[in-house]
Amino acid sequence: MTSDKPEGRTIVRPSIQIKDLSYSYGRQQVLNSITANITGGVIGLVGPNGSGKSTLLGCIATTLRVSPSQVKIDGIDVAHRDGRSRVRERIGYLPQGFDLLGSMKVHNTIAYAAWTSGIRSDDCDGAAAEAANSIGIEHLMAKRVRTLSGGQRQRLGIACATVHNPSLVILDEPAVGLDPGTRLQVRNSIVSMGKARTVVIASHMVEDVVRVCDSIMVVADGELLYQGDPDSLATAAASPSDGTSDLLAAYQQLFADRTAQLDV
Amino acid sequence: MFRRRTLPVPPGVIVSQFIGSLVASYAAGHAATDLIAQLWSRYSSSLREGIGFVGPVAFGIALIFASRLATARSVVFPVTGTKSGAAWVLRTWVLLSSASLAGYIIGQVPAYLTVQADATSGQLDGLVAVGVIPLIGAYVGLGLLIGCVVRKATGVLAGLLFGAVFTLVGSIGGPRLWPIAPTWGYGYATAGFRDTTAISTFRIFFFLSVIITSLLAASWFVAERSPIRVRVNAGVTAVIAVPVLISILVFSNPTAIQARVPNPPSVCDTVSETKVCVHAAHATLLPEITSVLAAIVDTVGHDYVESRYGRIRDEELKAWRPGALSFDVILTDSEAMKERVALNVAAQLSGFWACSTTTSSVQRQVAAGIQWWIFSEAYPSGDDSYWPSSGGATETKEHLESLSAAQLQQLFLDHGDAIEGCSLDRELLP
Repeated sequence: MTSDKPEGRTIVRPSIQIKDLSYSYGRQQVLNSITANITGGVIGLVGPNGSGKSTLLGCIATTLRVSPSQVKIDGIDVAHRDGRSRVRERIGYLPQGFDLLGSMKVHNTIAYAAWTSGIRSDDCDGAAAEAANSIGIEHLMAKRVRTLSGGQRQRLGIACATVHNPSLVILDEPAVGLDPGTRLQVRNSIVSMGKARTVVIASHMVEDVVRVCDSIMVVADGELLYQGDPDSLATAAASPSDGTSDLLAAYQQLFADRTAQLDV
Repeated sequence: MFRRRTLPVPPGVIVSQFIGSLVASYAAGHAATDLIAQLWSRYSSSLREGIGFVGPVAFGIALIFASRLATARSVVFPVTGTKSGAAWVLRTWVLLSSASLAGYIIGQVPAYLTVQADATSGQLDGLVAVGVIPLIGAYVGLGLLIGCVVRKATGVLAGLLFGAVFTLVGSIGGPRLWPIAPTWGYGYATAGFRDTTAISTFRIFFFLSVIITSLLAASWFVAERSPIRVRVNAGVTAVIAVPVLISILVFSNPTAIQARVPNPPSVCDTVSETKVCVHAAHATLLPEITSVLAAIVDTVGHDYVESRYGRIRDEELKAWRPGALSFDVILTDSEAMKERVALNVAAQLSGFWACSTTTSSVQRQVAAGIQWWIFSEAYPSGDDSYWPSSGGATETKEHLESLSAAQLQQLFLDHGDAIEGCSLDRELLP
């Protein structure tokens, strides 16, 4: 557990311990014996599509059930109901392809998320305004959700996920579908959040992750191939120390995905 | 300022639920006006049948709302949120059910006032009316449950399809499923009948158990607050399964569902020496009905009718059975009722009703021709589109038209059994 003290408030950045985590949907094994330690800052989870990133995030966010001792947040085992209840108020989670109610106004949406996240009714308006400011959507507060663009919806989702000021923020593909300007804005917001919180983001866009993350985890075929400094990723991929070239293949795959997107 | 919004359902959704239910309820009441026939018994049934309009609206809005707001991928009610799923489900259900019930009641006011002004006998069946409340609650509860589980468009569509099947289960399954069916299709209680106290009471408790089960299950599923617990779920399912089994055993006898009102009041008239009686509630329609029946008796002969049936009665006074000449009164419009009585009685006298057991298409066509001919004689201004434009039926009808009255009446006296049994061969026509 690490701590910081921005804006006069003590923020505790949770640590996450993942030990021998495997997960499968029926017969399909998605995660295979992953072990990792996450200790504050912005952590990027990268990997090709279908590599198991979202499943790993779901296990950390407590939306997927894990076995005892496989995932601990600040030492609390999330396999148990009590453990999940204790850590959930610290978590802000934005799943990929999240749901919103189109007929609600932006302000009401964030305030509702604040209310369901445990903020007192009287404080929800203030919390909503603060969250909207932090992500740059304060000018959209009076609009209905159905009128927002894809990028605006994405930022609204981040505002909802962080409105209760969680110490652990988990964002699944937060920059997907955003225009370059909005992506830059979201990147800056993530960097800013990472100063006071533990932020875990999943992305298949390596350059996004490299620019904002303090450390990086590469997942491919359900296995953790790399955890460390993003700047050293290319070097590690080029000179596999364990005698395999899986990391290089994953690394190349990531850039192949990116190239394909650019071609489109 | 925010306190207003701590209602778990946005005001817009509550208003939609209210207006949707109001419009559906008004439409149901309006559609039933002709069928109600100013009878409290029939109006009581129409309250239940009106749920066929209102229920799917309430169900659909609850389902779509929950599928947008309360699934595992919601960021408005996130999985990691600390609000209790059970409290959210309960408050949401209370708000949506109340809005729907309010819309339903207000939408029924015009139909209620019409019946109150015109009904001549009976009274509102309180148990059937009260039964509407848990029915609406069950629709909303099931909508919330399914909405908390599905989120993709296909899932929502499948959920809406389930709502439609749930609504139609009484029409599809028949009286055996009526105890657990929201609506009964054509199961209106007529003037001489009423829903039994046993079934009305059972339905109240059954749909209350549907509410409890669906709300419990929804509160586990909402935003994945809890995993599915197989053992507990099995217990909750039993809450529904046990009443279903009981209903199948207890209500398998149709008389346990609708009971005849003892000694129904009747009004009678005489048609060519044949007595025609209707329920007192249909007294205003008696002159129109007797005029049609008089024409029919003249056509086939008084002797034939008197020797076989003795008396012609409204179904509300005597259940229809082979060998008894009866007709049902279900419309308020006297012209439409005349046409209906002509069709109804002609179908019995011609043997056409018995044709479902006859394999000979020739005999069926003869019966159809006789029915057509009786109908045309009794109600000349009737709609000819009911009848086939070619074939043996037309031929039979035209042949009968060419015969004298004496020949026709002799035909019915000589071959009454064959005509009634849909087994008259064309060669036997004079």
